[in-house]
Amino acid sequence: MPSMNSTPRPCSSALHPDRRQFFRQAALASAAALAATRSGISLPAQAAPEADIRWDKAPCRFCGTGCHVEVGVREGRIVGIRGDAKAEVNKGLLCVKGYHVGMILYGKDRLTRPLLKRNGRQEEISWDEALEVVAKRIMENPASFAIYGSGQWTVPEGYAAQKLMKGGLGNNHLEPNARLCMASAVTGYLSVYGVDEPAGCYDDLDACDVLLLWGNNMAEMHPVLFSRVLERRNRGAKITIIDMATRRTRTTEHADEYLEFRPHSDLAIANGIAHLLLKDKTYAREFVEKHCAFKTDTSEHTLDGKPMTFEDYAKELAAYTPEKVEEISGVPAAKIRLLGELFGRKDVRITSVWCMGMNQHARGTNINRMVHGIHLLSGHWGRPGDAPTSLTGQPSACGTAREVGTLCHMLPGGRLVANPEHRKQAEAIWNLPEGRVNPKPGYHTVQLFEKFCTPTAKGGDIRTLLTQVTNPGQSLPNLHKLFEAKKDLEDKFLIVCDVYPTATTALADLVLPAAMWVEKNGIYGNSERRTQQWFRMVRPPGEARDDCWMTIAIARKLFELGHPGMKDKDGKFLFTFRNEKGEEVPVWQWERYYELNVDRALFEEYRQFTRMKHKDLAPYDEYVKARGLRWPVVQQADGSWRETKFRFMEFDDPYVKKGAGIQFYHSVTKDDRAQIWYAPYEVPPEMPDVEFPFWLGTGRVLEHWHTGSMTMRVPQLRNAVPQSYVEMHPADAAERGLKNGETVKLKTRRGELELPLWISGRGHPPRGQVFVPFFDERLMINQLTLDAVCPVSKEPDYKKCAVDVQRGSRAQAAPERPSL
Amino acid sequence: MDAFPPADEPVDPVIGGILVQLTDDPAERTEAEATLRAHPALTVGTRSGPWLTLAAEAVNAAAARDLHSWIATVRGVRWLEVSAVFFEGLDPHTAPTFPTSQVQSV
Repeated sequence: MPSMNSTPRPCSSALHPDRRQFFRQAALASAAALAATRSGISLPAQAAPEADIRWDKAPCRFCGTGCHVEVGVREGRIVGIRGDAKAEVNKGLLCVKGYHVGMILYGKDRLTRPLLKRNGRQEEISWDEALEVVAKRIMENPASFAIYGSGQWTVPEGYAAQKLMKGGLGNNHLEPNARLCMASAVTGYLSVYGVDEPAGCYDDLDACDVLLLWGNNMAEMHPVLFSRVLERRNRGAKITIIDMATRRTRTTEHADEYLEFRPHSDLAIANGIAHLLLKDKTYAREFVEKHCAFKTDTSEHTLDGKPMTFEDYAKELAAYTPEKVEEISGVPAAKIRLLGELFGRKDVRITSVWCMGMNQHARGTNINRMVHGIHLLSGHWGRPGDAPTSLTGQPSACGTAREVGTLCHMLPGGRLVANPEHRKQAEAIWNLPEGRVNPKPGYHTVQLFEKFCTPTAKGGDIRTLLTQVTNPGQSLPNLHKLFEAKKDLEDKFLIVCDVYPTATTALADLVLPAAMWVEKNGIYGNSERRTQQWFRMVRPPGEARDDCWMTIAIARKLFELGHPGMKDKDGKFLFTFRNEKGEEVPVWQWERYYELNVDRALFEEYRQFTRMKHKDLAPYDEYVKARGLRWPVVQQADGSWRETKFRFMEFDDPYVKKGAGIQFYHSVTKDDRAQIWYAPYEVPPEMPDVEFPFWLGTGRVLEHWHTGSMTMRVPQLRNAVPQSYVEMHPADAAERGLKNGETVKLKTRRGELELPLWISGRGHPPRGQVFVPFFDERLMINQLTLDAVCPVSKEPDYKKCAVDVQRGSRAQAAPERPSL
Repeated sequence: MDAFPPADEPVDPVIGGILVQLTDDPAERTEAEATLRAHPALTVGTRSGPWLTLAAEAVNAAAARDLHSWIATVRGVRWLEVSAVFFEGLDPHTAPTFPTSQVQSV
């Protein structure tokens, strides 16, 4: 146990004694404020000496939970972060990343000037030159241009990219990295309810009796939400946590039941639960008859599938006896029965949550459909606490990628490029001539990078690619094929907008330095349909600029070069903004960008789309006042705006007909019914064999976010987990004579990587499996991962491929044990 | 590839606000407050019922973790939560970079 003898020295001289005292007082004040939230008491004599710190709200920059932080700014720099006690999501609590989020701005290698590759070197150029280069590349061949963004794009950034590409260039090669993390959740929701995103919200976590985690390490990936459940437990609530996973994690430590299943076999488990509900006649017959219909996947694996009868559904499930499921999954039949019995009970409320474990899955759409199906079949749907809910990994995967629709087949507001009516609606809002929006979907992410990394002469028809707010050089699967192959292609041009050097900027032909987080205005949408707004608080360093400005400035260059798509049908520039006096403001000139609130202007235009699929957003100014609002946000008779916590449920959703109780008003069968899907267990595209005898799974750790480009620059987080590693079962290591800390070589059909072995580390894979986190750009595990995708969602399966493990060739220091 | 940075690698100072919930026993509460008050890295604020506010200073990540763990083990402490982190001392000229030049390609 650490003693006082080993405790820290006082702070270094970097902080002036007066400032230190000042921060001590501010720290005490923040604790007092938290006490007021936790207990309702007001601690006396804790007035914060904060006259020169300005605090303002912002959603956290990292995951999709959507915690609000308060950002303390003094003399143009962030000096403090505290949990926002007014925020319903986190109630003042933050995770270790959240408390350090302010430091992500201050890595010393921030990109501050545009860099153009000349003679193999990236050389500084002016912004004007950079914009000229981009615009000329696009003008050469607009159809071979693509933009790859992310679920970290703010809503206005994604919307501006949508409008430039689909409204301006008539080009649908626009994708977000969210294709890699939540596309299967989208196709799951669409095929079950006819509309994307969860019906419930985080309030379900406050009401459930059972929390069922489907391959979801919530304790590390969504720690604030997990704490919300644990806090209920600490207060005496009885909550059963069931962790269904392929390896033990920190989540398992808190679980009442741990059900370890073989990779991919969750499909069989879901069918096993449905089988028992039918066999035991514990399914919710009345609910199903009133609100559900049945569908099955087909060999073509389409979004629509094929209708089936209840009788046929029952026949298909007959084979999934507990014993059969045990044979496939490794989960004991008794535990399958436990799950079946649990879902058969009417006296408990069950919330299922999942994230990448179900989404990054070669049958991701099917497993999403089936988990919704179990809830519908059992009637564990439609009451607070009875909910199937996906979580997201990025702060605006929902708000931007899904709602703004920055996917290659979508328009904002759930509109589809292939639908003539939808194109007309978009053209009307954007004031475009009819026919401007291209009806043919663009390339999905994996296709897009395949095309970019294939020589033009061999059909690689994406020649210029612009990335914003993402790092595909580390996060794509099968990196040698999908990213690094670009290196030798002279006719391909990569433009990367980012804040730090990354594996992606390393291959860039042009780097554009970006502002980040509270260096710009922004709007995010979190996992529970909550739209969150913040204002710029500090200036970006050097010549770094807003991504949204970059998009508008590029569009303006194209306008000046005469691209006809940059004009609306009245001949006006697509991104025309006027101030309160009605005067046009040339926001494409950086020095005038903040003369008006561009975010507000774009958001108000975008709002028109949101009402088309009952995802109504309130006016921008309502979000300025709130810590986010969950859509649909509907205006009341008194003029106020009311959010919706529970969709399709009459007691809360204003769009449900009176008397309907539950109404799936976007039903794909147009009869207000949700679809219960059947899909069989199928073997994954790659499995361990003699040559590659282990399963390889990849994922994240608590302290690092995604590719680590931000968190690896925060000393506290980097020191906590300084390097990637491979987790392995002790018996597997012993069998190979491998020792903790030594270098091992992982080899798949796509590449090799050497990294340190960590036996009995944070996670505990079973025999025959290894796990590697993907945050470390020096040890890029995605050079080895598989690029097989779910045939419906086109999301790759990062969670399983076959790998061999051998002793490495290099000496390696033992990994420091992360211990935060 | 980088060697692992040592756990006690100096970093710029961080001051955290901590809310401690004490146990119900009055004697334990008093003892806990005295123990925490004696710690050189802690500034103890106001106590009201079971709630006690602290400001904690740490010069590196390992020390911060140790301090956090130590507070949790003090007799009379039931629970603790971080309320804020202040880090004005973080200097962009000493903040860490990340060796992108060492991207591996096997």
